[in-house]
Amino acid sequence: MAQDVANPAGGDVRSDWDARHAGEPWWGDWVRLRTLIETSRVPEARDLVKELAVKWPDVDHIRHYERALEPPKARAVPRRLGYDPQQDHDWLREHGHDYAGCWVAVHRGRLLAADPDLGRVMELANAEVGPANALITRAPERRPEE
Amino acid sequence: MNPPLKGRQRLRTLVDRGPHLLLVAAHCVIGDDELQTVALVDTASEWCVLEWSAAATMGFDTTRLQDTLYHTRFGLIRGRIERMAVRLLATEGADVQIEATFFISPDWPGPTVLGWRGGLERVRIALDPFEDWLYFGEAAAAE
Repeated sequence: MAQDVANPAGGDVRSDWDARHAGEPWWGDWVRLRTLIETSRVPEARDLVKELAVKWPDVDHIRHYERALEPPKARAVPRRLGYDPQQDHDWLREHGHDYAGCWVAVHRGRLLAADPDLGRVMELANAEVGPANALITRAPERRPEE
Repeated sequence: MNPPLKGRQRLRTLVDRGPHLLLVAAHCVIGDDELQTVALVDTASEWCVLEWSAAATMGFDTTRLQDTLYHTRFGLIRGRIERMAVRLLATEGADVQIEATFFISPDWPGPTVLGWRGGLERVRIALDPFEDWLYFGEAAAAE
């Protein structure tokens, strides 16, 4: 049972979510599924969730996990970057530590934004070069070795 | 390039990002053209995991992220499994777009991770630490 999952930190690791849903008719099936997920038996969980999706076609939670547990699908697609991003990585290595504690956006070797708030950095970078066109990451905290 | 490996990017190791040191990192886009970033490549991680700052910025709601537990190197944390795209960015050849599964939790203190389940388990990858390349390609059709 999922309740048997050990919690090294002690205390109640289950949530209000459990308390709210424990009385639902699909709860027992969900606990079976969750136990498989939490104990690394994902192939079995993938099989079970297909059965549960048929049994509980109107339960959004089960349907969500039916999709979430699907094996990943990978496909080759045309290259998105029209330039070599190494200049962005070089900039981060050489200058990024000056912005320690911030998220930074870099594009074609140029700093676009730096701020502790990732949302603010994405907003500024998106406005300048469009969504996902700048490399956005936490700034390094250590200076490069000389 | 070996035909199953469609694209490649520079192999980046020991990448210093804030409090995190990424032993092997991949340059990628998370979500549907949402965040171009670097992620830890970790085949020993059961799930892909999205850094919480990124998840929160993408609009994930903490009240919905409570239904599953995940044993991590930071202990047992509570979260939720979500489907999300991730795209490995090539500097030569083709990108690889993965319809992946991420564990998302406000309690995750680590970086974004490209893990095994729901991610790398269906991607061909190869590392060349001598020429510094990370190769990738789509896997064969699902068995």
